[in-house]
Amino acid sequence: MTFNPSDLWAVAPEMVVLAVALAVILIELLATRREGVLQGVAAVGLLAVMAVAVWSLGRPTGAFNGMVARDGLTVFVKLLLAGVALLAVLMSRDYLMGLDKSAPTGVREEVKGNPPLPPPAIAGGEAGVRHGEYYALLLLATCGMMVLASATNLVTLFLGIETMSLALYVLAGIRPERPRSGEAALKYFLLGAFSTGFLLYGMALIYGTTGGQTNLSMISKAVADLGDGAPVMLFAGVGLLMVGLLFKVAAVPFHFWSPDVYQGAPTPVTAFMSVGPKAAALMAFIRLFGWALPDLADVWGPALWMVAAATMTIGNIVAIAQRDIKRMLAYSSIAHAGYLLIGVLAAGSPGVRSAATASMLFYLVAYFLMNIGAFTIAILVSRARPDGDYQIDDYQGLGASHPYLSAAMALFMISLAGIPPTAGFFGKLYLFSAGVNAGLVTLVVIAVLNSVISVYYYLRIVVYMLMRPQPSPVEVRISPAMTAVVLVCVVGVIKFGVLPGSMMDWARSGAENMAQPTPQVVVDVNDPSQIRQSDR
Amino acid sequence: MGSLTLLTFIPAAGAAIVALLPRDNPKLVRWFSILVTGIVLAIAVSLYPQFDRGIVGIDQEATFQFVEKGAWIPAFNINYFVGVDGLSFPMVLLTALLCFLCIPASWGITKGVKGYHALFLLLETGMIGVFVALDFFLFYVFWEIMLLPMYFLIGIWGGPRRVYAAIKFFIYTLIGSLLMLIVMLVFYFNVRDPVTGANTFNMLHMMSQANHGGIMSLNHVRVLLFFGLYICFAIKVPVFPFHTWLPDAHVEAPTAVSVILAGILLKMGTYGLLRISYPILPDATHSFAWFLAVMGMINIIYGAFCAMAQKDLKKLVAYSSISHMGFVMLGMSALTDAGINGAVFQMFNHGTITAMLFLLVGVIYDRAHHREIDGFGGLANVMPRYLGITSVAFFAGMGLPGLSGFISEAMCFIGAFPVWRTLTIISIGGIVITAAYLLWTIQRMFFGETNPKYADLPEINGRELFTLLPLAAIVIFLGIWPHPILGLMNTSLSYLGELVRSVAPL
Repeated sequence: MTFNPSDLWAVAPEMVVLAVALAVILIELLATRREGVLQGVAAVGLLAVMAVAVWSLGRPTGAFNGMVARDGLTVFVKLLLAGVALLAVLMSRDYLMGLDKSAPTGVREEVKGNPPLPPPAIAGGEAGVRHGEYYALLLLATCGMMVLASATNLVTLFLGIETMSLALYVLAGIRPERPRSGEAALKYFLLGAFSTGFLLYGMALIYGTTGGQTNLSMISKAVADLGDGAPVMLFAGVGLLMVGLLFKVAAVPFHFWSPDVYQGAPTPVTAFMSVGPKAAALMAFIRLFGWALPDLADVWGPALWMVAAATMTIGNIVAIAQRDIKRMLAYSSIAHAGYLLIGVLAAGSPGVRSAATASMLFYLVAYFLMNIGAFTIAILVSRARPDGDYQIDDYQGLGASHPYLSAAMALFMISLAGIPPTAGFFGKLYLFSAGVNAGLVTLVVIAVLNSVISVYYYLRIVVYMLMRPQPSPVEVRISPAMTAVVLVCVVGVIKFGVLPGSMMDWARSGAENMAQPTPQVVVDVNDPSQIRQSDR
Repeated sequence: MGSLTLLTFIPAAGAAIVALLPRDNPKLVRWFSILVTGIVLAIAVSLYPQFDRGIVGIDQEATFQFVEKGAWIPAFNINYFVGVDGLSFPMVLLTALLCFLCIPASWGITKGVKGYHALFLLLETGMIGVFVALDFFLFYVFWEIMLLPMYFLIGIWGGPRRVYAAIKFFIYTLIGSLLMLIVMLVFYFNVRDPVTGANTFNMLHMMSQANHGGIMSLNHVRVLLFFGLYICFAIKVPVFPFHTWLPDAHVEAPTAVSVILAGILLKMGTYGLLRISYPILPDATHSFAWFLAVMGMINIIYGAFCAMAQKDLKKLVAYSSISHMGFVMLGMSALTDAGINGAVFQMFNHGTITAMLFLLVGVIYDRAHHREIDGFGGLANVMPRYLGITSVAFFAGMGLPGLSGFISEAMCFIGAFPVWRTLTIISIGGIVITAAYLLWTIQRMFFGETNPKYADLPEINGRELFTLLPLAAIVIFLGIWPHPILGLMNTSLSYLGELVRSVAPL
């Protein structure tokens, strides 16, 4: 096996993300109290990542002996992930600065009361969050997601998941002064570690039953060779792998962590978590189940069908009962994961594979815009309150004092509900028609009924904002960065709701332009001479 | 850019500009909205002389007028495809006219003037879009675009129970929309473009039975599709028993919104049946025409009796709309020339008459701040001009000869009588009930003892007359000389009736 320098192109975006993450940490050490600089470096770095991602686009191929793919699909997803991270970075500074100001004074005094303590050398103040650390973790999580989305080997898949998850565990608990943040981090970590165990066990079983394969297309071949004689252990392995991934997607019944984590984590992190890991894990799903294991669709199909139906139904019904907007959005994002699983299922039938993948990509773009937009406004509204809470009641009468902000929020809610002319509508249409094409009519009908249920709680926000009197005046301050985030989301939701053609074409060419690389050197574990050779 | 695109999107552009106007200058917003709707009306009227009355439209692309076609979403073979024929053009005229008159009728809105007018203009885009769309997908999108502004207009600017009414309206209509979405997708996956062989949303391709395949060639599926569409459109008309959202929505909605709701939105239901169900599923339509006729008769009688029982003037007018839309259903179910022409003419006339009625309710409500019919009395002495114009509207609603309502109702009955004899005879009884409740209302409100509370109510003012007189003039003019509107639709509608009649029932 030789090292091919052009392989580096496949991971160029990841390398740039890593470089930016390291740069942010270094800058924080050198320059004190330069939150703006840190944010700027992270944002510009992510723009560079996007540029590099576009630049790295080439003929679909693999890299590093079939460990990762270099194709249209990964470029599309990496652009999406960098976009998610970029908007999260843009909304973070205001949020973190707000924390610094509102940090409990008791903590601050206690720290100041310690004479030997050196003058604050880190941005963000004593009680606040270290901005550099925060951005670096965000970027590291992005890096992990990118690896996960391009993984074509169980090893890289695991590597991506763990890089992503470890960074997210810390991000969820980055506000130690808040018990809820700690609770979120602990819950996320414990359950996440558990799910990793499942994932790893599943990988081990697959490795064992396919004759020592970790490359996805080799696994696919091995499964095809096994035919009807596939051992039960293989099915168990596939099932365990599915559990591990479903946990990351927060699908029912592996969703219990997500509302608590979403509520407890800092809101920009929640916004980031509600889109990024889902997108990355779903891409792994597509590669693993849609492209590598369609032969076993009889086995994983029915299970995933039930999971999808349960996920959207439970997500939507429980969302109705929520009084906290972050929890409501958490359950709504569970429901959206359920819709997206229709795409994974549809990708299992070979004729619809590309169309289903493309529809998922389009849906993810739409979901990214409307969800990040909604979270941004949730941050703005909560910051206008003295206690910084996220009650839905806080939205009463917002339309009277902040008409534009309310109009934007209404747009996001309408888009999340899937009503035209918004991106959310076309996302659902594209996804559901792929489902119908793949013969999943019953599931699509369930999804359509679920959309009706979801209208109820999404429109409740709109009713509160526009049709109720304001109990007490609130003053929402909007910084330029936040305005930019909201504007990007508004423009995107309208643009892809009126003229979705271009994005659909990109999604389609991304999905069609997909590589499933095989290793050039195949190690046969049953051949002792080869093992010795590779050991050398 | 073609005229129809301008007609459709000028209001939307106007809405965007309204949203950017300064908030502290409601006058500017109002006058700007008048300007926008005025331009739309001017364009619509300028198309009138250019409209060729001799060509058909319906299912022939070549004979549609002012056609514009371009790719919109190539991935799904969705086109921006608009055009008008004798069925849609009168509706476009009606929409442009009523929207223009509704802006001065909204002068009393003081809360959130900008938002109100922006939504109103957006609503106009949706309505015109529905009437000109010839691609089913485009039709669906405009249909939905219409839904949201209406929901907000009722929910924000409505009466005390506005939120309830708005949500009820929204959920009813959304259920209808989703049924239409499912039917639309079934059409899409089973209709082939005759040239490329791809799936298509083009309504005209859907109308050619040769393009149908897959499950759409199964009879029971066609019946299901027909009833899926029927429920969607019946909710909009509204046909008994899907009518319960209408009185709530009307009572809570502000005057101008009621005008649009009754004047145009209700027509979308019957328009949808004629534009989509009739030509795409002619065999199912032919088989179930009796069902439409029965529902029409129920609407006429039930709506009239309900109207008679009302104490609230606006609810009375709302139920009278249900009754009058029954005439449309009865006329179109006959599939005869006179029946279908009468039905669409009745759609137009009901649009003008009911708009007058709601505007008149608004006039008295603005003065007395209630709408209890029994709470007035002797208004004839106080507001004689108001009585005069009310009489025109009420008599037109009753179908008095010389006013436009008479011609269209008579045509519906003449068309329906040879086909549905018993049903028509029963339905004609509805006219008697209509006369009863309208005359009784006039008597209770305008004659008898003058209620001292209202002895010095101000007479109807110039702005209100400006909204009412054009409608009154149209009602009288079309009652004497209906040809200017009837002539527009005759060719297309006779063809449509023939199209359905000539297909054997399932």
